[in-house]
Amino acid sequence: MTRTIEAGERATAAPCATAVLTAGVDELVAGSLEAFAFVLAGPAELPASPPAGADLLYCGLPFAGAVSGRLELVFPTALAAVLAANLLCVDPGDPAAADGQADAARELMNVTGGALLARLGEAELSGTTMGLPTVRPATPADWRAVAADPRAGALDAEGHVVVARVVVGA
Amino acid sequence: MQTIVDISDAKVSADPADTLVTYSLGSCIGVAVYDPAARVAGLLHCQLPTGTMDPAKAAGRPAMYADTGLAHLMKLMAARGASPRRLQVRLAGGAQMFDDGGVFSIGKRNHAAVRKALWQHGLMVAAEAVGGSSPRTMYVGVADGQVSLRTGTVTTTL
Amino acid sequence: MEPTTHNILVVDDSATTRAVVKRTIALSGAAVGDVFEAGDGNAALGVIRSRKVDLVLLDLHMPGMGGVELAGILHGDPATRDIPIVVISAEPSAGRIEALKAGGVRGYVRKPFRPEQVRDVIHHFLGGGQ
Repeated sequence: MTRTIEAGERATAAPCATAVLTAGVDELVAGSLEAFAFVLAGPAELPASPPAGADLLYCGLPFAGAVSGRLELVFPTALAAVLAANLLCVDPGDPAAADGQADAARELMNVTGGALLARLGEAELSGTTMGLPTVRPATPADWRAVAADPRAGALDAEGHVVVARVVVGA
Repeated sequence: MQTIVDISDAKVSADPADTLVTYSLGSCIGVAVYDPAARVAGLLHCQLPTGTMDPAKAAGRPAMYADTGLAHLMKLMAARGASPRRLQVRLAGGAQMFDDGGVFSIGKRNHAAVRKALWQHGLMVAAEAVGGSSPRTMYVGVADGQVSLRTGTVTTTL
Repeated sequence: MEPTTHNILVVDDSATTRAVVKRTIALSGAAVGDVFEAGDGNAALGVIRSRKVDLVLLDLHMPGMGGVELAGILHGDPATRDIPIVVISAEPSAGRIEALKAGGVRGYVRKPFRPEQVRDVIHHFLGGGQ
């Protein structure tokens, strides 16, 4: 009987999980930036296109199981260097910051993904696993794909605009 | 004797009869530091996260900002013989005084900026009372480094 | 008398996080000897089987052997089962953390962590501080 009830709960929980996970992605990411790497973030208008000439990173984190989907962020590579610099206590222009920027971006996705899934109830959460983050150079098309999502959010992280979205059911 | 630390100010004292006090910590952060060996106490009342947007102002009033304020406080402490390795750090303030933006509120940003500055200086926090929506008054006793907070009529030890 | 020093193993695939944890350990004031690093479970096993380790700070989500598997191996081996393991992870499921604790994991610090949380873990297991 217990199994039947669980299955029923999951079936009705799916649309609710979508709303819970996709709401307020800008505040989710701002909270992570601040708690993880002392980066101060504020609200920003959602720009359809990336800043001209900026090197960009695409960061993705998949999750799968009772609820499946992914978290996606696109932001200037310079912000990843700020994350690494803050954590390593070096200047953002220091070679150590450049060396650590991809790693810091992956860890940002890890902690943001954890905070995202923590919004789920334990019943859904226990059947959902977080994958490993991927970080790669992004194209303007990556930016536009995220920004075009009606549930996407944007924030200004110390002068660097971040676009973010959560896709559920993909 | 009480030595008052104004908003955007920092003071240190090695007089055991002295108490450093700062009023009206709302979204501002009070940073209390104490070296128990040198018996030197310091108190910073910073108002904004970072002076990087206005370096001229930060140079003139370093204690206004969390980043330049902590560096200023550390210099004052070092001049009185305090060692960073021995410092006990306590924080108060960072409240959300108005409906000023949730996660983006100035109190939260101030707290993050202070934590960043502490990390860069190699300092960790012994205790803190941050957030909420009530203003606080912060006292630091120079004799023993005890930090007290008053909110309304209630006084607590931090 | 010389103070007793303890060795710590930091297991995390993020080099940045390992650096943050190492700095925190250095600032903690605890009597710590060597701080070893490993980027996954297999590398961690290599360290644990060749060096004296008194505390393991363990991430869960790593490529290759993850933290859950490593904790299981360490707790299943009489030679290593008494080494305290504290998980430092972004894992959001309270149920999974409880299961790990039931299996012998001694503590959990949720990422993003504050350095003070890791300092408190060091003081709790290894002593030190004021």
